[in-house]
Amino acid sequence: MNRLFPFLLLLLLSSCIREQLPSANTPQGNFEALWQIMDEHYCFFDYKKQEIGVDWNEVHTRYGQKIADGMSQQQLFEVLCQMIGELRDGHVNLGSAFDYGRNWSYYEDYPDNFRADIIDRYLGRGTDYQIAAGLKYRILDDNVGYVRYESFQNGVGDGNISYMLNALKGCAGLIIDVRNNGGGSLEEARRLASHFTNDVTLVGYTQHKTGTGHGDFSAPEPLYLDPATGVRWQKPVVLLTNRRCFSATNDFVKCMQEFPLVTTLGDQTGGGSGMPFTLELPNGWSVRYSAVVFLDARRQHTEFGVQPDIPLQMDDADLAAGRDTYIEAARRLLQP
Amino acid sequence: MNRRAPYRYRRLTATLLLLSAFVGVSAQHERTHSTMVGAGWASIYDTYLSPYTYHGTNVHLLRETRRPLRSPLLKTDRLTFQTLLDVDLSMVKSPARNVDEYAGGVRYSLSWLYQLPLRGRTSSTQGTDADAAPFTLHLGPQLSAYAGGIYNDRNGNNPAQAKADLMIDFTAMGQFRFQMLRRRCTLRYQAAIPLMGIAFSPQYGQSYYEAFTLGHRDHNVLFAHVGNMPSMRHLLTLDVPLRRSSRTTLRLGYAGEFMQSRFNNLRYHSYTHAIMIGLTQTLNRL
Repeated sequence: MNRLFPFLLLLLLSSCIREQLPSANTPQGNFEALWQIMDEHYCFFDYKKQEIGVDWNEVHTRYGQKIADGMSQQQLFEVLCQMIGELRDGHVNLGSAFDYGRNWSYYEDYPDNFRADIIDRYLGRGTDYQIAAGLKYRILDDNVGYVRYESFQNGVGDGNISYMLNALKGCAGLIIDVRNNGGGSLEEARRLASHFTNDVTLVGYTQHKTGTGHGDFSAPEPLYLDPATGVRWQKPVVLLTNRRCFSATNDFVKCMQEFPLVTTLGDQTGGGSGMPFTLELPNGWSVRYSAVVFLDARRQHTEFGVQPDIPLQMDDADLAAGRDTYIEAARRLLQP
Repeated sequence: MNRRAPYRYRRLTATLLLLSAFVGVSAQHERTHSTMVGAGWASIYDTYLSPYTYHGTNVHLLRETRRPLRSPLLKTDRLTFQTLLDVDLSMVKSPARNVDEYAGGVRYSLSWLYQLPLRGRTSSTQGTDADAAPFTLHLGPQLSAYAGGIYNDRNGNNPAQAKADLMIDFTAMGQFRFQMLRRRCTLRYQAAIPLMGIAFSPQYGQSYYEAFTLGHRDHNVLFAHVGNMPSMRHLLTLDVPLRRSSRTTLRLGYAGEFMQSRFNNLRYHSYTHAIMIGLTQTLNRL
């Protein structure tokens, strides 16, 4: 045993675990670090290559030529943002003290299909509508319930949802409007969805990376949604979506599409089906990237959005008249 | 009527006897308790949270007890039983100094130390024994358990990393007793190397949401060994009695921990160095 100790000591001294990524705080060092972080951790390379032709090695060659020793922080930031923008992923961001790098083409390239002032008219004023945590709701004139949920960052409990559904129980149907809801907590999204199913429902699959290779993934694990224990809605629902439905909202729409009483109406959602993680560059800029893949119940990607059951664009004449094309179409669908 | 004890009672008695031999039973023994606090430097590297090494300060609380193991079953008086409770907290910053990380945890270790018979020395074993040999060398197994974590205050969905392991270690301790300022002082160096056990780690790109909220496990409890967890812990202490015949001694020391792992393609190290100060008490127990 006393001969083993020096051997172990020698073995340990020779096996220090240290940094492997480029650590030089230079334009070249930061560029290489960003490229390598994405190369080893980003979860959609194969899908993005197939859908939009991104070749990450070619990206390195092309953007590497734009890196120069004397470039300013702002110039470096611009080049690095352009590089990660190639992935067209709203969850891929570069954070510095002076700017937040992003590619928000998932909604910037498309019509808004949303006017907040018109929605406010439907909600009314004063006590015309109620607010249960993050949920605004009222009964419209034709006995249709209208629910507006602006962000899944606003926490909402089963009790809030049950109170709201109980108050709307006399309605012929329910409109849930998640347009411009940019996401937030998956837990909030699933909690709300669980009030619209009576059965345990397969709503998708998850998988994560198991190594640095672009194809190193765990086996897809099924995701089931359990019915809520509180009030559960038993009548038709129309879910309104647009391109700004992103991340957790995209997941919410994906779940709701599995329920037989739910019809989705509007524009395609914005996608963002990867759960983002954060790492950093030698200069301290944060790097946000999609790390965990969420597939739908048919094991298909929803990274570029979920198609609604009834595609619809806002009508200019409706907008001019102060009407919301989506809400009016949903009301017609819900009439008995 | 069968006057022999039922089989299950005999088996229980035998088990208790073996257990008592294992943990040690003695009619009278000396027990030392030490409590130390310290502060120093830390280097934390965990690729689940950041690809870069964070540096900062570290504080330690260390509680040690030692007592001889004497039992007719053991047939030796060379064994010492030691417990170590080590609580540590590190506050570290990113290389760009714009992100804070907090790492901490508790390690509890049980050691069974056997004093090697050195040439020309007596067989006295206990470090607090006034007649003990000037230099003694002890070796033995150690069972250690750790629970802790690291929190990064910038990250979103991966802000924290849990750390846990249960290991069988090899530990070695050398003690040198000498006179200084007309006091009988003791210099001790002890090292421990984790040999094998189990440890927790998330998978390379796995979120804690998947592992705990959804219950999707993926190689999260791993077989740890000296190859994928090459680590060691060091403790150097100097005991100086407060008075010439005092059983309370001032303890000064250094605690160095070099914990490392390579699990699921995630790389980790936590290097800490702390200067320690505390008191040691020796008690006679009946």
